Amino acid sequence: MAKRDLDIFAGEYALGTLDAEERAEAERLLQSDAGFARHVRDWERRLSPLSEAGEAVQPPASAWGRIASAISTGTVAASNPLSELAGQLVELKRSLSIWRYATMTAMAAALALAVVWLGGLQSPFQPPAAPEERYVAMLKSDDGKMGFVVTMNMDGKQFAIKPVAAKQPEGHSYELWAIMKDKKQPMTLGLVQTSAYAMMDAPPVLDSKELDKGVELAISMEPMGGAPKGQPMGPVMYAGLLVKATP
Amino acid sequence: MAQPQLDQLLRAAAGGDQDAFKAIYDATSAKLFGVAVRILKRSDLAEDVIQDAYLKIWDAAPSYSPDIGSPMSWMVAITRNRAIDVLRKRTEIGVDDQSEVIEQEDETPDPYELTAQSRDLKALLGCMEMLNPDQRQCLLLAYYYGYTHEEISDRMSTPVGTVKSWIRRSLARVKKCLDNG
Repeated sequence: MAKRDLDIFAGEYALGTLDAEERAEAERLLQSDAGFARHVRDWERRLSPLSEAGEAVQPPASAWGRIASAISTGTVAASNPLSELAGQLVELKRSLSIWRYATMTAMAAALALAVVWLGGLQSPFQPPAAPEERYVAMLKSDDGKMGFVVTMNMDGKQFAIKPVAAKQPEGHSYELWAIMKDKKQPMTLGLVQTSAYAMMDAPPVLDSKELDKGVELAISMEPMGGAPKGQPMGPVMYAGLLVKATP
Repeated sequence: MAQPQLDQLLRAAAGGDQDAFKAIYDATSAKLFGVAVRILKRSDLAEDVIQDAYLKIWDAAPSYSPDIGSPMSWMVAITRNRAIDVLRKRTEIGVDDQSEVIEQEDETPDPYELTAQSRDLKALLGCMEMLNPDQRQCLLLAYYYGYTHEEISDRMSTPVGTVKSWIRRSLARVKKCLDNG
């Protein structure tokens, strides 16, 4: 791109009119090209007086909570913003449509079966029963590292959570949340350990109807004993979508 | 809030003063939330966006310098960028649930109608007056709503190629005018 165009490209970025692809390109340039970054700052400064117009709207009182908690525990730099969850969900939805996801699901199902088999719940010498309805989620960190595998068995209303490579955070607890499609607030499923495989009770609201609509699980880092107000305040460390692993 | 005071609070926050940061939040959150709601048209997403924006502001406060604009315009830029990123991620894949969209009067903010305008705004609006009304409208739609060229083209019933060249030419003219002013 010619020099003069780069300045206008920076202007379009600051104005906010680039589409997703162009925006990604501009953000790459911002990281790699100091001249472009300077252009963007200049444009932001030129255009920002426009923000004097436009209605101010009081945010909900809850908005300060997570900010206060993050700055007081010093987890800001490591935080994985909650709004990223929307993005992660999008990523998962996108990957559903490609073959890689099919492989991942098959692997997770195999892993789930191995967990059940090791648990002695189903002997390989007995005639196979009709497959139970089962959902699987792989909870990954932002950089794609697998932290936990969750398998949910719809008969017993219980789910198993198996730590894979997650480390116990010092002085904090990991709390597991269900994010349902139609509900605004995440629902806590309880604290999770990184040391051992555990069975936990699933709340009745997580039925197959809800799961088919799409439920995401997320693990946030909270103060010892869990989020004090029943809503996640800390950064999201691992997240993944529950997908049906049986026919 | 007077500008010098926000400057001072930001310097205190850069040194780790959480009370100063709360004062910044109290003074600016309605403005930033308004910016995010207008772009995302959803209160829940806008709340996430300002939370992320304030964490970024807290994090980046030590690197803030008046050369990059007033504290308010710096914070608005951070919020707009975050809001537009979230907007693009959602519309790209089409996950937007229309039922949760806030129904609002689609009245684009009009900076020309403001009774109290800063010196910088007066200068910018003076330069934008050289543009024809349609070209000016393109800039305002892009700035206030984060619309893409395509979305502006739909709303103004103008071919997307025309919108693109209008915006590029308008930016170039505004820049030249401001730099000479």
